Amino acid sequence: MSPTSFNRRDFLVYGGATVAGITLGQVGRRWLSRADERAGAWHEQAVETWATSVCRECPAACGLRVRLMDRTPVKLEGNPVCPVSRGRLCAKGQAALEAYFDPDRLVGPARRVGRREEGRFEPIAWADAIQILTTHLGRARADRRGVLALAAEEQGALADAWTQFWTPLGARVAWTLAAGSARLAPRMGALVGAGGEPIFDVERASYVLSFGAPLVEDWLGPVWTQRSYGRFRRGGGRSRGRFVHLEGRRSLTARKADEWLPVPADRQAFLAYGIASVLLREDRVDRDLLAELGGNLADFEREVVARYTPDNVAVATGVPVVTLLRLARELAATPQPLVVVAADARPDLVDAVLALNALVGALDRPGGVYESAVARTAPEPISAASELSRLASGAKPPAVVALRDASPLRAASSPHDLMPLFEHCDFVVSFSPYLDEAASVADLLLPTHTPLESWHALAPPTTDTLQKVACAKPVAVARLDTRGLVDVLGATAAKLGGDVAAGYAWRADADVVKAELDRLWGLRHGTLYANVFQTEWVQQLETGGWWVAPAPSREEFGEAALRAGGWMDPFFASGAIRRRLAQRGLTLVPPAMPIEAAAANAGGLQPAVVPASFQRAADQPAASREFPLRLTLFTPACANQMGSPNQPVLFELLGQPEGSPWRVWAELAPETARAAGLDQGSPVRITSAAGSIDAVAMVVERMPLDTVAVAYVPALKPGGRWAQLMTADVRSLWGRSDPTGPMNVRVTQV
Amino acid sequence: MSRWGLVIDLDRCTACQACVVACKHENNVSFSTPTTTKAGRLMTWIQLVAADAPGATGTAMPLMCQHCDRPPCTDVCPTSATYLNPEGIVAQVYPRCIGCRYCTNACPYAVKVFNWTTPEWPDAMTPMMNPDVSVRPKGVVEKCTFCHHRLMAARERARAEGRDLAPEDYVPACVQTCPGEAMVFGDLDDPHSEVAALAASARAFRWMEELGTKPKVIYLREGE
Repeated sequence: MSPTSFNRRDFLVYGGATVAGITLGQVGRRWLSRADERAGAWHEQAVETWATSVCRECPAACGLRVRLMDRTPVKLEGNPVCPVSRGRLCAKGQAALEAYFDPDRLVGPARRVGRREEGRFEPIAWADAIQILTTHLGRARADRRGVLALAAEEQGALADAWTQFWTPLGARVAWTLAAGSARLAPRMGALVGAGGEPIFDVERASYVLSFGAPLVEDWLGPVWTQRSYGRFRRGGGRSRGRFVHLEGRRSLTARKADEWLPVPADRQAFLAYGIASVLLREDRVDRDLLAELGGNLADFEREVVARYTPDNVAVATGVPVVTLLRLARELAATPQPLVVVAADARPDLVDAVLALNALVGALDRPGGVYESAVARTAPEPISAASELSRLASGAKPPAVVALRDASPLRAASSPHDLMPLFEHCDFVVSFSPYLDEAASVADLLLPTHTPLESWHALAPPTTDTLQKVACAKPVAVARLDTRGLVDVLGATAAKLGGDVAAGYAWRADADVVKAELDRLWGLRHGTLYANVFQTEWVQQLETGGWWVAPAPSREEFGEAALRAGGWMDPFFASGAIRRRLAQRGLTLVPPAMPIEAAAANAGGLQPAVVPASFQRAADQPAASREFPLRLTLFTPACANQMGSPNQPVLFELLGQPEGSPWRVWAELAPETARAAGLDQGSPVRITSAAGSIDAVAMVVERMPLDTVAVAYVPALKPGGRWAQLMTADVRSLWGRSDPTGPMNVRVTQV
Repeated sequence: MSRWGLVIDLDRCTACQACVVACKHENNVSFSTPTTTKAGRLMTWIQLVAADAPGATGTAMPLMCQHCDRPPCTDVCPTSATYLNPEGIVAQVYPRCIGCRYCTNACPYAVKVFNWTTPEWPDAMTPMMNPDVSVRPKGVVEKCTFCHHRLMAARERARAEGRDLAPEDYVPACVQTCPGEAMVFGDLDDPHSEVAALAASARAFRWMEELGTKPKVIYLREGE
C-alpha cells in the first residue's frame, strides 16, 4: 500500500481498529490480570504433602502413601516401607480414592421412612441416631431375642473393639471370611501339629504346582502375591520358575501358567494324591528326610499307592497318565518345588497339597512352606455366610442385625433375596459409609468414615514370615457428616449403661489405636515399618538377641509408627516345623474320597468333540435338555467385595484383555459356542430355572465342554450412579439356592 | 540429553491393570459408561490388549503410546500439536490440537484417544484431580505422555536441591504402582541403566517392529 492510496475510508478503518485495540486491550489486560491473579493465588495455596494410610479395599491391609494438595487427597501410591505392599498397589488399591470422593456416598445418619421395600430415608441428627440404636439394642437385650453382628473379617485392635462392643450384648459376631492362609491353618495343624498358618515362599521356589490358587490375582493378598509371582518368574540371578496350574476355567492365572490343566475343583484332590502315589511308587522322595521326620508315612504310602493308581487318577480327573507321570517327575527333579492351594479349597484338597509338600521336602526350606511364628489361639470365626444361610432357611431371626459393611450381603446367594432375609428381624443397622447392599436393607444408617478419613490398627493376614500391625491416622478431613466406628459404638455403650458401658472403655477410634501403639511399644521387640535393608538388619540383631528401640520414648514411638504406617517384627526362627516333627512325626492325611467310584462316574470328563448334552440331546432327561450346561461362578479380581460398590474405574477393567469393559462375560469352549451358534463377543442370554441374565460370550480354548463360567460382578439397583449401570448379577440364576451348589443353565444368542 | 524408554516384562506382568487405574487418576483421564464404551469411546491411555506376542498366543499386554523414535502420528499432524521432543517423548500440546484425528488414524497402535465429548466428573470428584495435569477439552486428542509432568517436577526438585536428576526421581505412575515389578523405566541411552540392559535382552521385542516406527516401549517376551 502506497501513502497515496491511503484514503478516508482507510483512515476510519485503521483509526477504529486502533481505538478498539486499545479499549479491548485494556479489558483483555484486566481480564488476564485477574485470571493470572486467580491462578497465582491457587498455586500459592496448593501445598503438596504426603501422608501414610492403610488400604481397606480388601483384607490385605497394604500401606498407602497419599498425595495431598491442600490436604485434599489426589493420588494413592504404595507405601515403600510397608512389608505388604513395598511401594506398590493393585488396581483396587488405586481406585480407593474414588471411594472417598464417591458422589453417592451417604451424607449423614438417616432412618428409614415407611416399609423397607420403599427405600425412603430421612436425615436425622447423630444424637437421635444413637438413641434409636440404643433403644433397639436395649429392647433386644431385655427380650433376649438376640443380636447378629456381621463384618468383613480382619484381625487387630479395631476388630477387637467391634467384638468387645457386641459380646456383653450376647450378640453372635460373624465375619465374611477372608480367603487368607488362616483358612489353611487347621489342616496345617493336622499335618505338623500346633496351629500356625502356612507361609508359601513362592518368590524363591523354582517350580510351582498350583491347585486352584489364583497366583496372579488375589491369592492371600493381591500385591504380595503378584510381587512374589514376578520374582518367582524372573528373580535376580535365578533361572525362570516354571508354573503349572489346575483350575476348571481358564482364569488369568491359567493364562499366565506354562501349563494349564482344566481340572474342576472337586477333582483336584484326586490328582494331588495321584502325584503323591507316583512319587512314592517310583521312590522319588527323600526317604532319609522322611524317615527323620517320622510319622505315618508307611500307612499313607500303602493307602495311596494301592488306591490311586495312575489309571484310576487319569479316569477320575481327565488328565492323561503320561501327564500325571510327568508332573510327578518334574516335581521330584526340580531343586525347590512348591505346591500351593486356594485358600478356600476343600479340606481334603488342602490335606493332599500339604502332604505333597512334605513328600517333596518343601517343609521349612527356602522356596517351600514355613509356618507362621504366632499360632492362632482364637477359635475359627463364625462365618457370616452360614449365619445368613440359617436365616434364609427359617432359623429364629435375631431382633437386631448390625452390618459393619456390605461384604456379607455381597457374598449372599441372591441379590433379590436380601430384603426377605431380614423380613422377621425388628431392626437392621448399617455402619457402612456407602450406598450399598447394607444400606438397601437397613432401617438405620450410621455412616462411618471411609478409610482415608479413619484411624487404623489392624494385623494384615499372614503372607510372609514377618509379624505386622498396620497403623495410621486419618489423612483427610471427613468430607461428609460421618463418624468413626468406635466413636459411634462408644457413645452407644455409654447410653446403654450397665455392664455394657463398664466393659467398653473406648470412646473414640483414636483411643484404640493409641492403646495398640502402647502395647506394641511394651513388647520390646520389632521395629517400625522399614525398607528391606533395615528390616534385614533388625532381623539379624534380633536373631543375635539384641533389640534397639525404634524411638526414644513411648510417645515418639507412637508418632513414628503412625508416620511409617505400622510396626513389624522381622524375627523368625526357621526350622520350627522340623523341630516339632522330630518329636511327634508327620501326620499325613490319607485320602478319604472313594476314587474308584469317582473314576467309574467320570464319563463326562472324557474329551469330546461336541458336548455330550448337544450331541445326544434326545437321550437326555428333560431337565438336562432344557439346561444342558453346568454353570461355574468366578469373581474377577477387580470386583470389589467389601468396599465401595460404586467405583467407575473398576467397571472399566472388566472383561479385559478381551475388550468387554462394563459388561459381564460368559466363558465357553469353542465347541460349545459353535454348537450354540455363538462367536467371540456375541451377546448371550444365560437362563436357569430361577431367572436369566444377559452377558457377552467369550470363547476360551480348552474350557470343559459342558461348562459355562460367568463373572460375578455385584449389581445394585438402589446403589450409586455407576453401580446401577451393572445390571447382570449372576447370583440371580441360583434363585434362593446356595451359589456354591451345582446349577445348570441354557445359553442362547440374543 | 536422556532418551526415556520403558521396558515391560510380560513374564512378570500379571495383567492386573493397576497401571491402567494409576494412569487414569494421575492424568485426569475421564470415566466412561457402558454407552460410551459400546461406542468404542473408552478413554484410557493404557489398555490391556490380547496380542500374539513372540512365543505366546493370546498374551495380555499393557499397550500405551509407544513413544516411537519415528512416530507416524507427528508426520501427519498439521499443527505440530504432537511432536517428538528432544528427550524422545512423543509430546502432545493440547491447545494446538484442532481435532482432525489424522494422528489417531496414523498411529498403528491405536493408542491415541479423541475427546468426543467434554470430559465430565461429578462435582464431588473434581477435587481429586491432579493439579499438575490439564484436563483436555472436547475435540482434542490425548495420549500417554510418560507422565511428563513428573519429569518437570523431578527436574525442579533436583535443581532446587542442587543436584543432577537421579534415575529414581522420575518414574511414571504406571511403573510406580506395578505390583509384579514388571515395568522398568529410565534412560535408554545410559549404558548403566537397568532399562538399557533389559532393552538389550534376548527376550526384548518391539510391538509391530516391522513397521519401522522404532518404539521406545520395549516388551520382554514370556518364556525361556
